[in-house]
Amino acid sequence: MFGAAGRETSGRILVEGVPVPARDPAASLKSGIALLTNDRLGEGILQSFTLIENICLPILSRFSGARGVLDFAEMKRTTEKNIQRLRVNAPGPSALARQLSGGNQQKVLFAKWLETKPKIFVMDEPTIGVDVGAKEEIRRIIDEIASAGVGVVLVTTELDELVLLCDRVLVMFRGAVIGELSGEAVNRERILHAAACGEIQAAAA
Amino acid sequence: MTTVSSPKPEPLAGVSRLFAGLKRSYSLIQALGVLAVLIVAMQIANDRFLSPINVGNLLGQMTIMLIVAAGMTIVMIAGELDVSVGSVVGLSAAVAGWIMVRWIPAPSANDHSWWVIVLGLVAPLFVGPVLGLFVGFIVTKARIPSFIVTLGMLMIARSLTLVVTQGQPIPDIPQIVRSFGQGRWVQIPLPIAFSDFFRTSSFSDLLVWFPIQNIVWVAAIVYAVGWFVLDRTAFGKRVYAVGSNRTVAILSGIRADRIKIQCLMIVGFTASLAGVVSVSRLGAVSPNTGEGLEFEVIAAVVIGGTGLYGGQGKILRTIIGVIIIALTRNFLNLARIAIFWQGFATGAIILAAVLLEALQRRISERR
Repeated sequence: MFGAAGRETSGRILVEGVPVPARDPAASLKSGIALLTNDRLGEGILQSFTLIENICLPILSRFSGARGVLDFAEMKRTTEKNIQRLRVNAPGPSALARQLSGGNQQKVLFAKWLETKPKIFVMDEPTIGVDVGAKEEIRRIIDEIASAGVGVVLVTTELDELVLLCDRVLVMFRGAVIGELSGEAVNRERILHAAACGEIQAAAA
Repeated sequence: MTTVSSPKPEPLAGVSRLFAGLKRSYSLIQALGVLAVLIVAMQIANDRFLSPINVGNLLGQMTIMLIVAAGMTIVMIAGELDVSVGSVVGLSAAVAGWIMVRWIPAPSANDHSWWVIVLGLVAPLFVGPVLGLFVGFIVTKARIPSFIVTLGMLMIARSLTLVVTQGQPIPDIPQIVRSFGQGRWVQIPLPIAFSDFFRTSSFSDLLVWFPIQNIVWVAAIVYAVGWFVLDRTAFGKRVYAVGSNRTVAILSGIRADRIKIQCLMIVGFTASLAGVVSVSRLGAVSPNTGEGLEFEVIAAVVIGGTGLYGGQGKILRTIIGVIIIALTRNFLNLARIAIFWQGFATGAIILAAVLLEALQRRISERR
């Protein structure tokens, strides 16, 4: 997951104190990390797959018995539940992903990762390329996810999104953290200031 | 296709659903249509075409290609290609013949110990999967296109076939093996008497109880299992996912390399099975068994609608592709067209099928 496409970097990842092997998306998923990439078309949605197939892809083994035969009825139920909960505008669970607008495809991806029951949900530019209405809805969904106790790591270049959603903001420049803000300090001016000047702010203002 | 259809109440829901269903199976209907036109045209051109003898020959000749094409469909859905299948068919046949005839010689073709026959039929089935495992490791670990790796394997396996057979045909395959491969134990009703219809314009005795070759049932089982695995299991879904977009599959926790290796082993298995079936059908092994088969098989799979870029395809449609290729060859034989022109005709059909697919994709993308 992390470093799946790039080269080895420093640092390590712990989920509830347990180290997660690097460069192994299957293991990361198993330890409770979900990753929404910023490239919906290239690394997210499978256009020629149905919503059922897109959403159930990481959790296929949950629907297959000992002999690996899939329980389609259960897969459909899971998909319908998510379509309702995330208010996906789609003809039905068996619709192809390419029939949906960008915003609705993004919601399908949220459903896909939420169904993996993540402890940590990493989102890279979650509202990129979706229309204004869907943007609002997706931000609300992110808020709900965080309220439900999932640790959300939001990576974004949209200032408003940071101010609206984040409790704590780390400003990064060329791979290094150059500013940290939390609580009241999370506002446009302080974030821009940190980004421009790179000074390390004291936590809590 | 890119418009968002909202779930609004439609009075004609049933009709529109029917329409959507037709649209979805459009390419299937199209393929069946091409097939029907071909069959009728060939029957009109040559009234021996649907005769029981010719249909029998046709089914027998088709079986080897059918079995291999099932595995090829799976590997192509996973986004890989195996051009070594012809040689793997040959090598597996050679191993089978070598075990049953040369390694442990029997006094006569009726006089083999049972364990030699079992070994001779089962051991060759491991040839393809083992080679597939080897190819799969190189393809996935060294990131070399499977086309190139299997091209190498094409030559290696053919050379090994010559080594095993010593370049000589192996005759005298045990009688019991031959009697299965050449037997027709079960009859089913087939509309063979169409040939009479065209002569007499009467539908009397349209269905004839036709004894099907045993080996055709082997192919039928292969397709039943293949369909089940691709359509009904988690493994099948993963194969499609890996073929459509490897990155998405990997990020979804799928071990894409493992899936690709497994698919290459499956196509190896079908090639080996086809080799053993050809031994039992022909009752002998020729050192050039399966030569050139790979391209006919790939052509059949493509004509059956499986894309060259992975992620799409249906195994049962491959049957239509195989029938179209086999029909064409059979028709050219019946019409006594010189063998020199047969490759030309097959090639033209492949080009037409690929062009049609590219055209359709461009149209559906523009929409």
